[in-house]
Amino acid sequence: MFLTNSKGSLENRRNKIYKILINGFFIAFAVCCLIPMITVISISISPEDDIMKFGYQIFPKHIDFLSYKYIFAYPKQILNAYGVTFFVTIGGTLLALLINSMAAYALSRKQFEYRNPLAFIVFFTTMFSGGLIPWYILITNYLHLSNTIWVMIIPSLASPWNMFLLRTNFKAIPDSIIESAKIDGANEMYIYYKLILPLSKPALATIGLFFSLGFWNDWWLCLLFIDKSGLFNLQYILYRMMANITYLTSQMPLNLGLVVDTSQIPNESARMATVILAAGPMLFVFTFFQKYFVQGLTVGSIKG
Amino acid sequence: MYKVKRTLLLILCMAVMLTSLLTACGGSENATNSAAAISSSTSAETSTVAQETTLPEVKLTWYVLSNSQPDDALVFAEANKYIKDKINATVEFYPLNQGEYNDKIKVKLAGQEPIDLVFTSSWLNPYNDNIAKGALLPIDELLDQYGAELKASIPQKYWDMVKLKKIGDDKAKIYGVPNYQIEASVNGLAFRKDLAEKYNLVDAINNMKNYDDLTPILNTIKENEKSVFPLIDANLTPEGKYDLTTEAYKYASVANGIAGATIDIDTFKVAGLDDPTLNATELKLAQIRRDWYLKNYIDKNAITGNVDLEPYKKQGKVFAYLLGACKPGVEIEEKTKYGYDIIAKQTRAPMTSVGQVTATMNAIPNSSKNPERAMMLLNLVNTDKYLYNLLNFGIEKTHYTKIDENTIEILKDSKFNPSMAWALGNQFNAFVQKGQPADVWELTKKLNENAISSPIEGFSFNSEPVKTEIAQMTTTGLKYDKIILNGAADPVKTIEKRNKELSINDNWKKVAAEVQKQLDEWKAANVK
Repeated sequence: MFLTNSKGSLENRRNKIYKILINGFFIAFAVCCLIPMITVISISISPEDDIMKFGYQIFPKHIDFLSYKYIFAYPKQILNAYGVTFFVTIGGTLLALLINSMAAYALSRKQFEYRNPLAFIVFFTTMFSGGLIPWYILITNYLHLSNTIWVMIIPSLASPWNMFLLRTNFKAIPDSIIESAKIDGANEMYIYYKLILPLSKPALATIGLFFSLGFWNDWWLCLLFIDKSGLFNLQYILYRMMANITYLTSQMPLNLGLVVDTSQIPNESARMATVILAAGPMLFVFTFFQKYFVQGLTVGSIKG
Repeated sequence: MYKVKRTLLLILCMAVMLTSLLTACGGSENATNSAAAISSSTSAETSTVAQETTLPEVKLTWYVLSNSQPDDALVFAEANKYIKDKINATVEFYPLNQGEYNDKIKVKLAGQEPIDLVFTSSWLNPYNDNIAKGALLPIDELLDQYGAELKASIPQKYWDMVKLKKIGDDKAKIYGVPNYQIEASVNGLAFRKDLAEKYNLVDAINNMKNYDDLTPILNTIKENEKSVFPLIDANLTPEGKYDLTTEAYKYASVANGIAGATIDIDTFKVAGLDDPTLNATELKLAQIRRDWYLKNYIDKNAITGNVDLEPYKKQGKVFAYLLGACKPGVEIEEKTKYGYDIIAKQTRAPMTSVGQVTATMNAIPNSSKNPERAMMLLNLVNTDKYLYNLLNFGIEKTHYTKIDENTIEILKDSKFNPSMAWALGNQFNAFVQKGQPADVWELTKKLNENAISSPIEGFSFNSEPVKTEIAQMTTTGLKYDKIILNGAADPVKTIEKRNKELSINDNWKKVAAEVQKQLDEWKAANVK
């Protein structure tokens, strides 16, 4: 009696210690993840002088929205850029998922006779590329895509890496499911749309996230192909703004005989403000996708 | 089954609609653009019928090295009205900043896109490479025919300096128009004026002849001003000169100061590690710096990494520092930036080099459909004060106010102030900004005239035959240079150690022999 009782309390105590340790570890870990984020926010609302004097602070000594004012001085441009980026990200991700999953599905089916040569052709492009300039000439002179919104979507639609990832995922779906659907009278489109896609939701979500991050963060395509300021995306606008600030606050204009009053130009704080503007929306998207990641881990276990 | 088909059909329909919608948008935009262009062209034509009847209307594209501004569209429209009147052309300006310029223009030139004007220079969108690739048009004839004014506005010696011979051509040609401005580099030192006056150092500063004369000045500051460092970076003469006067310096390095690549320009002989004058100077400078280091003239915390001088200057924590460009008006510019009056002292004769003259140019690409018009535009922008200032400072009263005929003040909330006058054209046409000396351009021109160019100008050392030696010596340099330049260790021993390392495998001697060989060949071909 005594023995069991003490053993029970010992176990309880042990559990408690474990719990404290584990919780403590994860709290510490979470804090480590949060601190950089908080610091970024703090710097973005600190006056430039404070950053010069005290360095980066976790909590700002004074609050000053100069950098946001500087960036949003002409809100039309930024809002327009947000619009372009949202369109490209959403439209691009959906189209990319559609195209890659269709290709992956075809290549995953054993009934498709030429799947291996075709897969090789796709694979081949990952090893060799035509080079920047031929690619540029193709897009501008033959496809005439420059200065259209599509140039930010189409060149990155087909992604061999993600396509093969999806194909491997589709291959893991037992053939018997497809066969039984066929016996029930389903055609290929129906199987793809009603069976394969829903069964691969976690994989699609993962790859969708890759794609959306790619589209969201891209400024290179915009730099190369877009001249019209109305089609600039968010990352590119922020990039230009930062380049502008860096130039004005550097030694260079002075050496070249120009007079610039730099006291009203935020530098470090503006840098951090652009980080927040650029990364903020993606944080929400990530939490939305997160549930699929968790699902992705458990899907296999439920089926046994 | 039916439901699936319907949904798929719906998706397809939506995709098609979306595509057509977007293409329609793009199309209509083009349509309105061209409509606007047509209407503006007709109005302009009627106004200039008498003047330019022979010139057909054209559209030019100019990728300007600039920083895009909120009021770009407004200013460019205004500029176009003016250009239209003058040369009956509409110019599409695309401002690109320094970070993106190379990436964007490289592919455009390679893709033979019809561009009419680009920025090119020794450091961005490289002039030499572009010529080698055949991307730029030789403009000698165009200049004579359509740019006579422009040609006359820049001294002939600078035109000669931008001339280059393309492989396969029989003579050198001009491929770009230099943006005429300060064409000489001048090194100097800056001293905080308030402190210099407080301790009666102004005369001492002005009469300074060499490095040793600096020591008592720095000492006064060290002893009296506890919160100010006399120096942050002890390397006040990048070329290793002991004299702080404006006389021409005898030595020139052709490979980033690598041992064995320093040339005595009087005799055209390499001065190596065994050159007594060079060695004595280095040791003398190193000992002075060691002395400063031991006396705590330098912020010892700052020399461990790469020092960013800006915070020190902004907070007024440094008394003396190196001025990269010690030119007319520099005092006011430094004051605008850091809030302190300074005394600027030149420490080297102004030097002109090809690198300096080609540092900022505009050129006509080979792919241009209207090179004649592009030249006319270049001519206009370089010789017409109104247009040049419009593109620099914007519209009067909207972006700046005039104080007198030539002086302006930029409005505080100006939505157009790219601050890129140096990349656009002849800077001597620019308005003087409030704060600059009224005669800043005359002074700069005088400085240009007084500038000397090195006798070995035009000689470029091909390091390929000795690249292993140079790589090894660069590593050695990285190890010791910072120590020697800041006096962080005993100079005699450190220099001895370094020289021993540089002499491994006769490295520096091999480099010296190669430099001498190439220099002799170059001299035989170029110096009469």
